[in-house]
Amino acid sequence: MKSLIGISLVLLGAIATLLLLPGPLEGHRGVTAIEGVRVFDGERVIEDATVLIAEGRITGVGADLSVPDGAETIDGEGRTLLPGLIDAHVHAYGSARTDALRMGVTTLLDMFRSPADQPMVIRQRQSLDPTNQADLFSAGFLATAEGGHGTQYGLPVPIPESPETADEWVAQRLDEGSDYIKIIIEDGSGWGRTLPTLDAAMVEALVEAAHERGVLAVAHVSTQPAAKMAVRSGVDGLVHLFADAPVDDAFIAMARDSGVWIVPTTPVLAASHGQSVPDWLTGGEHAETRISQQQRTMLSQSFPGSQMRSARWPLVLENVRRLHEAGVTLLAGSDAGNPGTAHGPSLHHELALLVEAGLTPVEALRAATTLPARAFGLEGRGCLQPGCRADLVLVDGNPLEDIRQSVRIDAVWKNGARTERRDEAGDAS
Amino acid sequence: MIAANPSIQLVRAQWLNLLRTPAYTLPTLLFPVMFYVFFGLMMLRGQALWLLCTFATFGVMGAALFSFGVSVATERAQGWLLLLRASPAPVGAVIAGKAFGALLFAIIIVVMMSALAAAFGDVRLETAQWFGLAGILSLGAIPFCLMGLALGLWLSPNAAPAVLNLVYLPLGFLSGLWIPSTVFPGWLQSVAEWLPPYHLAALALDIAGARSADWGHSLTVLGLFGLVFAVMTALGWRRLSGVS
Repeated sequence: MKSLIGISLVLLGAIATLLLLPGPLEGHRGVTAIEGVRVFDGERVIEDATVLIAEGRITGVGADLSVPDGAETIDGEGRTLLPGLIDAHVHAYGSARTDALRMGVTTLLDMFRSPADQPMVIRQRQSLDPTNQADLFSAGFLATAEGGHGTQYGLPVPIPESPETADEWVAQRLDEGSDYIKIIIEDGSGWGRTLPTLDAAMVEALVEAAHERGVLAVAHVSTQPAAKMAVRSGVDGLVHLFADAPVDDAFIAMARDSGVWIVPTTPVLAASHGQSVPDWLTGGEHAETRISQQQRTMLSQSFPGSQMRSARWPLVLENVRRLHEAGVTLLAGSDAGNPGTAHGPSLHHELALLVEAGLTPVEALRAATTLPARAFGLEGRGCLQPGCRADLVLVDGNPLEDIRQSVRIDAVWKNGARTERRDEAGDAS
Repeated sequence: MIAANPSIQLVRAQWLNLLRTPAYTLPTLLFPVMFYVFFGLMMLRGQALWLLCTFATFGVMGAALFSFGVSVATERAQGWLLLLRASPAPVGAVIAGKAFGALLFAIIIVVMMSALAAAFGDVRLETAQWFGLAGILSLGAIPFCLMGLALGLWLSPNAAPAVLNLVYLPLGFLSGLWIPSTVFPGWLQSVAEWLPPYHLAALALDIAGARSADWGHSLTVLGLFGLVFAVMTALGWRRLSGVS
């Protein structure tokens, strides 16, 4: 009899524990009103506005909105409200999605990761439930040559064998849940190495297959000749800016005619060209409460041989300036996941470097909101208008005047729920 | 009368056996949990949900294999099983007693890991999912119980622990329970898809919402695997005649 009681107690204990285990996050699901705040809606600035959010979406933006009774109100005076930022080039692994969210980056466009959990990733980004993770879109596996760039990370990569099988390769990626196709064109010449790479026929076949199946094809390039080959092959975007040579007129003409967009990824170029991360990014209150020790370590790293290339760094910003002046669409992206970068802070670094290169703060913020949302067809993201997702960043200051103030984050909302800082989440790392 | 039911008597005996040998019970329960804390929570941060499913599969499989395999081999050597076979207790009751022990271990391991995953890995699931995970992993222990039983009936008591480790650890690794099989090279991935622990983990991952599974296929593989060892168990029981 005693034994039966003991067994029952163990089983009841197990059931009780399971009942007590936490369910999905729950946040404030009533109406939240942010009052008297400066709003950047993805395109332009509205001073002294009220923003209403409910049920995970923005329900009102305007100067004289009436706030419903019972709404939670937040004083926005002296503050700026931005749409949740979009990082158009990351490699999301480990704690990337929570790290990014703490710094106001609410959507990540991944450019190479294992697609194993892609169905879950897709379900999560379709949901409007409160979450502590940024939403993720991903290329899944990338297309590269046998032994080429992208095969060195230890993740097995399926290799597209020939132009004839390109369609099959693309179809396999889409079956795995890839949102777009990423193609590597990298012969190593920009880095003083020799690497096997895909040829033009292969790239064209992949781009064609992607387009026939209705998804974007984007390319990794690091040299101007590779960039030209990619544009000639019909890619929709280049997910790096090349730094081997000054942008020439022929490339500018091609880029303008084709409408190709470019993600400069200046933070990763800084880390590979002897530039260290600026102090304003890694110091200050936001760093204490929103950047982890592990992220700080990542930010202090650099690529081997980085110092030897530091003379080339001014060329990066010069190329950004020339392309921007020529009217080529630039999308902000960090390439976080690499040495010298971290998910979240590095997108703010990119914004500051874009402004340093000659974009206005508003143009830089568009490159991290409206423009990537348009380029990738992301509905309800990168915008701060009624109907958009309530992914919001409240900044203490005015990044429209000084872009570096974008890091002074007061609060981040994801799907209408306020997210936790590191100290609030009990993360001591 | 309840007390006369041999199954309940043997379940009781197994319970007392576990209570009175904490030196066996505690390590068996704590080893997989410790493994999960080191690798799933401390080293590979941000993967807590995925690794909860795979490490719990690993723990459940271990509890099933060892609580059957080693003890059956020993009891056979001692002549206890032969005695049981001669007694009026049906063979089902003998197995029920041991299966009870393995399932109890499985439940405790899954619940402990779930609590740690929620507390330190930020894993958040619906209540139905928490129960589903515990349910599928406990039931999923059954084919591994049969495997342990069959091996215990066929192996000598000295060989049993060594052979079980030789089966358990590579099976866990090759099924992607420590490192997701998705980062394996292609040929190794196709090996994983033939292994039963891979399919139990796949079902757990499906319930947790991490990756959808082909339930029909995975259940078939686990069922066939269980059937093979059920047959081996039946054969082993028949040839039972003390130490062979």
